Amino acid sequence: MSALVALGARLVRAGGRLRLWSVVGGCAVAVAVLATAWSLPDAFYPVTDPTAVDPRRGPFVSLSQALAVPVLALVLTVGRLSSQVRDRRLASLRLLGVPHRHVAVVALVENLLPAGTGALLGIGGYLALRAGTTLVLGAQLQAPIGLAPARLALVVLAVVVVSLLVALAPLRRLGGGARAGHAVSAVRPPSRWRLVPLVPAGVAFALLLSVEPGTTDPVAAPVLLGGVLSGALGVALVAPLLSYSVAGRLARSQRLAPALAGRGIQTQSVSIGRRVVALGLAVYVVLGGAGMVGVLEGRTHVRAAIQQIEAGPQAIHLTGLDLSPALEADVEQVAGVRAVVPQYSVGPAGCGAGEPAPACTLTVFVGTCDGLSARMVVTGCRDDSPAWIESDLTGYDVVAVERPASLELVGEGGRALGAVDLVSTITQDVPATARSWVWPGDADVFVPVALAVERGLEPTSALVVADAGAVVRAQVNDVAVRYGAQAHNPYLSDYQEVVATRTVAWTLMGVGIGVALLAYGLATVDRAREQRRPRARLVALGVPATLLRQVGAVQGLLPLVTTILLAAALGAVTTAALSHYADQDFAIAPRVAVGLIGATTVGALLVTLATVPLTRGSVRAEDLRQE
Amino acid sequence: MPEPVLRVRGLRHGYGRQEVLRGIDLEVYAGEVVALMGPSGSGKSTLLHLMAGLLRPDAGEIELLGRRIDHLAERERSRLRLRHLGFVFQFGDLVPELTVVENVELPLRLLGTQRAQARRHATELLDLLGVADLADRRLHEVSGGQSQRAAVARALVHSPAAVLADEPTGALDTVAGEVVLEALVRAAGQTGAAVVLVTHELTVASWAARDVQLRDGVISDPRATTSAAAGQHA
Repeated sequence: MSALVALGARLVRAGGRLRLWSVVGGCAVAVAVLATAWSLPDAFYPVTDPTAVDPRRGPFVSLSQALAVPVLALVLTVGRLSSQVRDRRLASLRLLGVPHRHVAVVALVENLLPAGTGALLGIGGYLALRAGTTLVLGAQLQAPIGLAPARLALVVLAVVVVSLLVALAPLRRLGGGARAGHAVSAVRPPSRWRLVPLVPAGVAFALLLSVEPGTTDPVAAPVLLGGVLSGALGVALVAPLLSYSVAGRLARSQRLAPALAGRGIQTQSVSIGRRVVALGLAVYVVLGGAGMVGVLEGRTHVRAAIQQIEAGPQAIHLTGLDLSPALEADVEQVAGVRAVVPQYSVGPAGCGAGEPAPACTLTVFVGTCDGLSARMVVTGCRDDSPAWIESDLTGYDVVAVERPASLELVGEGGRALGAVDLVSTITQDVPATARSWVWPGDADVFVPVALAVERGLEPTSALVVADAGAVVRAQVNDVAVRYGAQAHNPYLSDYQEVVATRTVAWTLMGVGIGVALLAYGLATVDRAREQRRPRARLVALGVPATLLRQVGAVQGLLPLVTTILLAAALGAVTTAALSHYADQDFAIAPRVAVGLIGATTVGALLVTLATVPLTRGSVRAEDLRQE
Repeated sequence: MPEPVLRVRGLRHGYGRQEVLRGIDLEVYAGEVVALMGPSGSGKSTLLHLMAGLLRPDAGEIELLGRRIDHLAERERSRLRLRHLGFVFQFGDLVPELTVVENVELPLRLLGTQRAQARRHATELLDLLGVADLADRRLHEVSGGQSQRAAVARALVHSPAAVLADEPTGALDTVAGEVVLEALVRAAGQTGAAVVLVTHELTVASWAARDVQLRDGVISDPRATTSAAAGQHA
């Protein structure tokens, strides 16, 4: 046994420095990222009371867990680097007559040393990430970032075990021993069984799409989870099949470059597919994550907050004063302020103690038509005529109220204001109002300000309708403070939570893409190195460098594009099902989807370009010799 | 006096501080089979790669068909290599993604020959080398000797001025090696190509008209640098 261990230790460098340091680095990154991801939900949304868990914790936990997918792909990728050389070494042991289980021991030792070293280094990486995250996001943390030692040990163990399983995987092909790695010319079509994961994924998403939108179904969550996992498996397994299929068409081309490239992909579709699997999974996961963020942000009150703070108009409340004409005039001078609308404390009479009358749900707006128009899009408003405001609120959760021709009103402190005759009707354009404010305007009755003044009413506060932005908000507040008042937008706290969620979600998604690009980069460099010898032989024959570059470009881009398209398509289906279940429109804005897919693709292209020098260099003497 | 197909003069080349070739002069004529021999590390393969324009010499001149190639750009050297040279490596090194006949027709396709014409020519050559029945097979479906004969066909299919063979039988048994060498020399004789064989086996060298022994980076017998019967190659 000690001889086997010693042999395994000697073989650690057999795959070259790239493989050695990639396994060390890959496992270190895996532990650091997984441990950090596991610890973040408790730092952002700690569970102090199991009955009052922050609703954002669930999606956050899901997103953190989803990071395991590209991380797993990274461990898989680095474990299979230099596979040709490594597999040949192990096959030669079988040729010598070393029993299969002994070869397995050698393979385990060969992988355990770098994987274990990397995993332990990953603890340091986790501590560094923890410190960095605390430094950057400290203000948004509700508890210190931390992970129990047992959990950290579990992460280390899991990464090492996965790495070892990857190391053992090729051994089953060495059963025959001698021919391992020799039949590189054999076309091995990926099995059609690879399509199987798409079936449960399709069924799960079809089920979710058939559920009545907005209903709560206890089966939905496990169905969604199953669908997402099957979808991820589908991306990993189907991508090589897709590349193989497209390459088949290229292989039949009359032109040499596409034909050679197509043949190359066909003979190595699985190993080429493995190179891009992490990217495909990353695209799928981040699209799912973006869909989840989209669903969270698609809730009406969150949309209203985002609309007010990012797009405008925003409604800034001035409180703590009796509104003076001087204050109103000064606020109106602030750049970006569209209107200052005095607010009166007026409501229907008879809404005190006892059973409230249906009319108590009515909201009375006292002011001018201009003031009303600042808050909602209306037609038929006259400054001399009290009126009902009619709104088509179909689809909104409102109680229909009888509309008498006259309404008794009371002011602040229940002071009777007498009746107003509501002889006319104002019509609110609800969709147009919602386009500006998300919510429809909430006033049901319009009372002209002249009538209110006539009955001794004075404004109790004011609403400032202004453009979006923190600057105008701050300037309005500066003016208000001068008059002993305060200005605030009640949606600001909602929006700050949106920002916090976005920061965390996009950071996690960025980490996912980064990990995937790392895996892709290492695999691309590895492939470029493995291709140096065959490429040198073709150069020796006089094959033009342009042709080799064209072949290389097609072989690099085709699997990349097909995998990303497949992942994007499955991600879109997943998001569609999630959005439907949440009773929302498609939860990812086109620009977000294009941005995510574009960033991943551009990143992959940059990584590919970075490896070009490895394939463009002049032929080295050692490339022309046999090993 | 005919012009040699390949001529090197004062060739020097090293790897790092180690100088492998220290002033080589050599001429190879059309139709001639020359064996480059010597112990491991004597610089045989390096000389072959220099003659093919794959490596740049540290000093000296290399001429292919009377034209200096050592100072040409890689693109130009590659073009000359494709047009005028054929290569046979120890393990054939055919393109694994292609069938046998597709490998053989590859140089012709790269030179712009129509596919049908290239296929016909490649098949004829495979027939000449006795492996025409393997034309449509992939490389994992043929033996080492058969693969090497296909490599010979690929090296000759475009009627090159010279075929450079680096240990062409090194991976074969004696019988298969004899078959490959016989095929190479016979086919080269028919096309008039010069053949440079790198080998350390005397049995392989016996197929050559001239042995060039390399030792410590120089040709041990100066008389071997050019053909004694150069005048006969007119």
